[in-house]
Amino acid sequence: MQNLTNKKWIIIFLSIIVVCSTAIAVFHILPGGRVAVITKDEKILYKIDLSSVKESYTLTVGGNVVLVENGYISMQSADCPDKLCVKQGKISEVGSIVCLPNKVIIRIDRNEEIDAALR
Amino acid sequence: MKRIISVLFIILLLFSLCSCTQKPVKTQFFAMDTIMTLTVYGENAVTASEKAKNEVLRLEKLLSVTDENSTVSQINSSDGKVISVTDDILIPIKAAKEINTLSKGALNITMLPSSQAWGFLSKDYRVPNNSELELLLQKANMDNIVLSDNGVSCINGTQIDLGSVAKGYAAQRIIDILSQHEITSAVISLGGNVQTLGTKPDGSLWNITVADPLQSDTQTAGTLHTAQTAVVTSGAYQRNFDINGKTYHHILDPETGYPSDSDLLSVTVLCENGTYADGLSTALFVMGSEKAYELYLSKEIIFEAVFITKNNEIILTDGIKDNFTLNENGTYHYAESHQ
Repeated sequence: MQNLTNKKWIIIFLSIIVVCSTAIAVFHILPGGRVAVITKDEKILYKIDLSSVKESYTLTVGGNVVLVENGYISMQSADCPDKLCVKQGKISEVGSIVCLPNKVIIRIDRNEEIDAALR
Repeated sequence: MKRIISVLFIILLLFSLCSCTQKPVKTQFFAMDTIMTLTVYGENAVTASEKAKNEVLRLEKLLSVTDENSTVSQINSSDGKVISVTDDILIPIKAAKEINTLSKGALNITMLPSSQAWGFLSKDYRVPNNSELELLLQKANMDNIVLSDNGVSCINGTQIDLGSVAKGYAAQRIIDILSQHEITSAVISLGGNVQTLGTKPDGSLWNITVADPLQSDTQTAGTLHTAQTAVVTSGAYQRNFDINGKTYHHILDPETGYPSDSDLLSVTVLCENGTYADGLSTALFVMGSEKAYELYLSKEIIFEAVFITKNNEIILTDGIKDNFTLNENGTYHYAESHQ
């Protein structure tokens, strides 16, 4: 009888460990997808998982048009004077596209390993 | 009963392990003509970030060269009269004067008329001719900035532009405010002007990428691993325009009035103080790698630097040789002379 309860406790203990470590693992792996975040005037408008995009489409954000493709995102057009954001082309892994005049940002949530990027 | 307690204890322990990956508070906003990101860890992170953001917005109103109501604009239009100012103007000017002396004139904050002639403020770009630039350079003289007990005056038609130190000063102020709120771990980026407070919450170093000056939007030249420091890059790629197939960038050589043409594509400066890191990066870029390295060895001012030259070489100063990882897929290699 004493033995049986011991076993029971060991099983409970092990299953708790398994559940917790799975939870931790999932927690760490989940944000690994390439999520592009589009903000205007410091407010988040869209969060898009670029790896799950099947057909390309565009989004209108104020005077800017964002092109969303499988694995890539870019500024297709903008009504700002310098159009630096359009010239920047597509991004897929590192960095962000910023349209300063219209206060539109497209950023791909960075690799957790990098804390800041010099420009 | 004992067993139940011990199991509960273990569960608690595991949960505390989960929460060890502490999430920072991220604040992103537009100011000083750029985008700013504050990443702050710790209990007071929300309040501290809010205070820091307000401080930047306050400083912007004082330091802006394009806002005609700013203190800088008041000084520029005062016709030589003394304008009373606070430390927010005095500290950046004093830093600029010191770096001007140390760099033998490579940093000069009185180049405003020349920058305007090139259109770098209005974004109405043009190439001024020689005689125009020569005339404008006569007004560029740091000695014409006169500091007195309670104010600043610019004499002989000299005008100032704190653009080369303002973001660095703002970064330093943010770090000071975060410290006052007992924050011990933070990294901030004011349009790529980076400053860190302490280390990461787990005690490890911050990883900060250095942009590839030829493909700055998408590629990195390498990664710096640092504890508390300010890090600022100056490069020809940051603001420029093309006319007739020639590219002109915004860092003007105070000697010629033309865009600086040293051997560097970019220089990244690490310095304890944000204002000095910012001003030094401009100065070293104009000086070129050789003179910049001489200044480093002189120890007249303490800093470290990553130089990227037009020969695709990377030169690291002695103090950060072990704190930089080269991007192996990049186009740059270490210079032989400084191995």
